[in-house]
Amino acid sequence: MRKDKRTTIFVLIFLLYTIGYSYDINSVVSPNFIFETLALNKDIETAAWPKYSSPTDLVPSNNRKKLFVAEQTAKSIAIIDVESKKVEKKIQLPNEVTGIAVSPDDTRLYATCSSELWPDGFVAVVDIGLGKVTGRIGVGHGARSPNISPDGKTLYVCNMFDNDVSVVDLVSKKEKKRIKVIREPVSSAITPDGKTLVVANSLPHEIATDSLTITNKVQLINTAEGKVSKTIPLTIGSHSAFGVTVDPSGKYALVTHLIGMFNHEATKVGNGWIHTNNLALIDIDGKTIVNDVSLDAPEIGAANPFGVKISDDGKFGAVALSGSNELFVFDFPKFVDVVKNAKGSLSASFTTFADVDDKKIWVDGKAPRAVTIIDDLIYIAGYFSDTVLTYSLDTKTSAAGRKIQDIIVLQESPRPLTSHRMGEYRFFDASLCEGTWQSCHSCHPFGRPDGLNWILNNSQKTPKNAKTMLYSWWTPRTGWAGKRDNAYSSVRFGIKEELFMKVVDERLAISIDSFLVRMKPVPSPYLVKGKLSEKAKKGREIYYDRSKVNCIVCHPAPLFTDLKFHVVNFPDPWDATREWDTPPLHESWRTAPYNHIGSSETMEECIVAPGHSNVRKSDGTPNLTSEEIECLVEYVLSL
Amino acid sequence: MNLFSKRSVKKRTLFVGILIFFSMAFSESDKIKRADFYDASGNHLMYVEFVYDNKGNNTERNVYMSDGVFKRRTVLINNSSGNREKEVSYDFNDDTSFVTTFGKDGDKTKFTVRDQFKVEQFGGDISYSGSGDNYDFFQKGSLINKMKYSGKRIEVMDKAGALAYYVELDNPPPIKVLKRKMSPSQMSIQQRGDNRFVLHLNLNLPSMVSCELISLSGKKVATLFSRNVVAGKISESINLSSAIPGLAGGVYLIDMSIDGKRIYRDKILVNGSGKGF
Repeated sequence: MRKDKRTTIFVLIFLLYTIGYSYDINSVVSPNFIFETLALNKDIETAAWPKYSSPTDLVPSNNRKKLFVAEQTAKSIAIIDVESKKVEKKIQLPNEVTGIAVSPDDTRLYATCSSELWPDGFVAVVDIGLGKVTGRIGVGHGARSPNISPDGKTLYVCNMFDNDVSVVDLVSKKEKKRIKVIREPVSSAITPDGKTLVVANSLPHEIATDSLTITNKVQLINTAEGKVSKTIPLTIGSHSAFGVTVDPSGKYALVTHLIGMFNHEATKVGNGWIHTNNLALIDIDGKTIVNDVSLDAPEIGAANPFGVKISDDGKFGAVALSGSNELFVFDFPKFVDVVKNAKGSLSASFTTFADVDDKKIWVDGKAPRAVTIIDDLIYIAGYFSDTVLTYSLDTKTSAAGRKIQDIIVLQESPRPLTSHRMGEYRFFDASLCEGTWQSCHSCHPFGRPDGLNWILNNSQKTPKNAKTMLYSWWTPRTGWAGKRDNAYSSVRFGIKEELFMKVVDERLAISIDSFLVRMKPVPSPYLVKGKLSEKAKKGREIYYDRSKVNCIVCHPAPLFTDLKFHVVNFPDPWDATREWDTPPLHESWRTAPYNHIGSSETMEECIVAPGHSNVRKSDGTPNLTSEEIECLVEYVLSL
Repeated sequence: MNLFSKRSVKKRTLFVGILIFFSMAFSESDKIKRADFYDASGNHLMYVEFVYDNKGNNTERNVYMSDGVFKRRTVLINNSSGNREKEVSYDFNDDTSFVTTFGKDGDKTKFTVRDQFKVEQFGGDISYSGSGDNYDFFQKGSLINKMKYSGKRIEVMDKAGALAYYVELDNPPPIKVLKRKMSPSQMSIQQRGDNRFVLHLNLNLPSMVSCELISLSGKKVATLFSRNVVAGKISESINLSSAIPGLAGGVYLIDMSIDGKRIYRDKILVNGSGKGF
């Protein structure tokens, strides 16, 4: 009997425990877990990651009564009432907004969404009336720059890291085609008749030793055929094409970009010695570049042109100069006239705009990237100031008349800049450079390489391929030859020797340190749903199999560098040494060309190069089958 | 009733056995398998799948973005007393991406998230207090968020109490099916001469379309058309004289359906002699 009682008590305790366990949700779905998951996704705000707006695109409604602002890092779209200049509504999106297109009837927005945390792009279909996302259409990696056809049935989206353009059928709400372009298309524009899509590839794709042809290209896509109809190279050394617009007649396109004077030893910065900041005029029907015009003045640079727009009446052009914090306004018909009649290249002529009634206006908005024009007002968005500013167009050429008209604040309570946000801003800020000719971003767009070989102002005096800043803080020494002790040292020497500032403001340098410390790799487009593909998994096995290859000797995880110098057989007659700092492999999918002189166009070329690895035996025959090499390449490009 | 009589013991044992069975079964099925994260507008952001060991202890979590893209795997590590000591997150390559450590800040639970380089991620420790259903989150001594557990829904509010995000447990979002907006104007049949007709379709989604000839008594005479059709406008010609030789003249019905659902019916007149109406 006593035993029975004991059994009963035991069973009851067991039951209580079991039932109790089953309801203890908080132990599994704990408060810290929920907070952490949302905060690591940069949803919940923390002291390190305030929710900045970061306006990156400005698009007016077709009736010109509303202005839609893509608030990139806030993951929202702000709707501004054009008459009152007030933010009347904000629409929340599931990921960062990189661009906006408006349906012809002004009822829907098509917003491209993609971020460094979650780059797999989609188009969010937004019902403006409801103020909600009503659907998502999957597109490509790094989706941005949406353009809608005049009939509202087709949307074109640049997939920056898939190197292609999605063609989206807005009737079936499905991606129906991809059109291959060259490299990192960031910006595009469609002609008013919808027949041509102008796409700017932001980076060159050639090997960096190919100094006679290396440049980025503008491509014209015939939308009816869904094919590239013409590839137009910009001036040699061009890169960072971040803005495209088409004039109302559909005859011309304007493309903002930089020209890197990579053949010059970087001993000075003035007069465009290292970079000029340019605007290319493309003849769309003629499928040719009319000329490539420097926006700079003889003594002062117009650093880092980003967004560009032409007014509806075709009279004015406006360019957002992100690096020099300026708005560049010019008479568009005069510009066309001067450029068409010019003899020879204007790419390094700093007086062209003197004949075009241009005006540069210093903008009280940090690093403006987006610009648009509605009626007689220019709207320009400060990426780091979270504001939209307006300037008048109606005073023709008077600079005084173009004083700021309105400041539209996107945040109810503006967030102070954290140290790393300040560092990011300063990375884009050409006021750190003598004569505002360039910023850190000029040679390292978004902290990554520009694809060119540069002869830096140091004792090496030999061309070296620009390096990524990603993980530079954690992989000393810096530079291919390890010229600097670490990234800390490189930041300060960079300000002095590449931006030519006599005094380094230590507070600003520290903030740039902070930005570099927090940089994280963007997940590779080679991943499948965020994981290694089957091919890459096989490649991983090979990578770690020392009986086959010796990758992990010099490139061990997790940094994929042993932080040492090695002799690798990529010969260059200019080299004074044969030992080079071993680069980490993260994001190598976006850092071509490879090796210290950028002479390997592809990762495969780099891996199988004799003397680089033991993929080949000493007699030249391969250690790996071609399939194994493919797998190995796929793994490295997945990191 | 003597609860401890032989018979009662048997009954009781049987009853307890059933209870244990159901309790365990219930417990097993009641373990949280998945949490879905939404913003206040109802946008699905992410989901997390929970992994349990064979003792029923939650040992891992896997975070995915809403489109199924893997973000990280988090391994939960407890100390010898069974309390959470740290959580280590790994990326797709099984390299450490984040480490979360726990501590106490007075009566509050404190946690810190650092990346693989030990860089603190949130700009200072996060601490929280509360129990059961309601929690308050603090950073640098200031209230930053509130959290409320309510059954299988957890709400995250800003410091003013406005809903910012919510989490649904074991209630994944339905796979969205685009609503068809079919109307007769998007599907029609037009006579184009003797027993020849043109079927017009304007579909907003690729669909299985079929077209049947029905007698007035409701009997299916023939399937005139049945195949997958791409989205957009298409036209399909049907010649009844050649499709159904010897078809008797008279009034017939045409039934048109999309993915098995009839959306259009119309009458047609068939000339049995093939010489028009």
